[in-house]
Amino acid sequence: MENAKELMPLQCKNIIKKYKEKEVLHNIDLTLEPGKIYGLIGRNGAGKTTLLSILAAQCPATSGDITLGEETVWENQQALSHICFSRELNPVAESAIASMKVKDYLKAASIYYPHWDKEMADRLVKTFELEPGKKILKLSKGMLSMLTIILALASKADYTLLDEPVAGLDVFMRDKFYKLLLEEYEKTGRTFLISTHIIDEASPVFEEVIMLKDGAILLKENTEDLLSRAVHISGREDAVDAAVKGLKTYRPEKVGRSKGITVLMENGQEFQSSGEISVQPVSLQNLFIALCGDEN
Amino acid sequence: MNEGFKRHIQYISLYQGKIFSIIILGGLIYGIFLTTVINDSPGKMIEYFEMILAVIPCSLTVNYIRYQIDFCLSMGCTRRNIYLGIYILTAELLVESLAVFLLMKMIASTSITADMILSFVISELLSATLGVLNGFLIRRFGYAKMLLILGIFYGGLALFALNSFFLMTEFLSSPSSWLLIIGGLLILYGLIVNLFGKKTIDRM
Repeated sequence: MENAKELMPLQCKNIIKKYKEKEVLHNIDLTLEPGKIYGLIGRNGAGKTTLLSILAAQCPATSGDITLGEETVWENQQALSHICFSRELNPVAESAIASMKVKDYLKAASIYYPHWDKEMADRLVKTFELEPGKKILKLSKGMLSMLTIILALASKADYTLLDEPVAGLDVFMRDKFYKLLLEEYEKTGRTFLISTHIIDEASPVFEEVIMLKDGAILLKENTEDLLSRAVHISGREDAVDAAVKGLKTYRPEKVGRSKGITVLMENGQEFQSSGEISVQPVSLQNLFIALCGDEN
Repeated sequence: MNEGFKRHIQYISLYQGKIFSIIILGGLIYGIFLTTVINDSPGKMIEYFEMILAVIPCSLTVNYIRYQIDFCLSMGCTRRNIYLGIYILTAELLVESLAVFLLMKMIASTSITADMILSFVISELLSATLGVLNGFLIRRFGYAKMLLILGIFYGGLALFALNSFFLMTEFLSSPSSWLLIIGGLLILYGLIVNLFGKKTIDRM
């Protein structure tokens, strides 16, 4: 079972989540294949944390199923032992973690996660220069993020879901996190699903990107393939319009008689090339803005 | 016993460790304070202490429900195991209270009558049993049936208390009566925390 599970996908089928009458997730179908790093991106309120929380069975879906291989994840301790959801820590005064010290939190994690790597946790505490005896309530936003990263990496869970792991981290610590993540991925082949708002910085580590818009999955695709389909075309307005005719375009920007536009081509499609237009690659962040911005 | 439940029990033990230590230390200080500074009669001291020890263990369960449920869920614990944690903590009220009770007896070095101990044990036993029963009822039958069953129980308890009140002229001066009241309060407490616990878990 243990060996077989390593190859089993984590799937959600027809997930709907309602808070009272408001539906925040609409019929989500998602399969996470083992051995990949996924990026989950979406605007604030798109449903990222809710989706992660449902995948980890910490929040019940209104309808739909989450399965790990053939087994349902909900209330299934065996399946849950393969999943770690490292969520943002919010140590308000009235919470369990507020009174905990860093070492207490990690001790608790070592109890709950069966494959916990204590040596790794201790090493990361030193790497991030966290004080084990410091109360969580007194940690800065960046330090809290470091703690969630330690939990995620040391849990050694086959499926590790991280919600905004780099929030509050400075650029050096973010760099350190991506390196640690890739090291761990190379060593173990674990699956990571990472939600983030710092898209361009994280995009090189995402093998696949999942874009969530208004509670629905807009796209799920290999990051390189996706970016190879996207271009930004600019030039004289009539030339640009002629070049993109018949293609899906997003976020047009006009300045005088010039125009710029983002194009997402379907496989096999091409734009009309001409010397009057300028064609630039599109970063994942700009593509995200184009697809999920208010203009659309 | 499933692996997840074992891990959850291990965590509960860890989290209780400090509180247990505080209770025992607090009990010792309180006992020394009563015997040396107040120099009160042993009978009174027993009553004070019973009231205190009836309240302190309850804080464990309150803490568990208010603060720990969300944390345990975030660590991948199932709701079923969290329910079981509530039962266990409620059942522990009995064992824990008895332990402190015996400690208090040693400190006070006084003679305690058999009926006092019996009343105490019965009230604590009732409380613990009902606490466990509450959790069971919530899981199996939901609120309505649970309230019906508990209503009948509390009705009986109230009648018994009233009956005792009229029959016993020195009701409130009797240690056994106080124990009955404390036992009743513990039961009421068990009901409230379990209702609140169910609501808290379901909301998450």
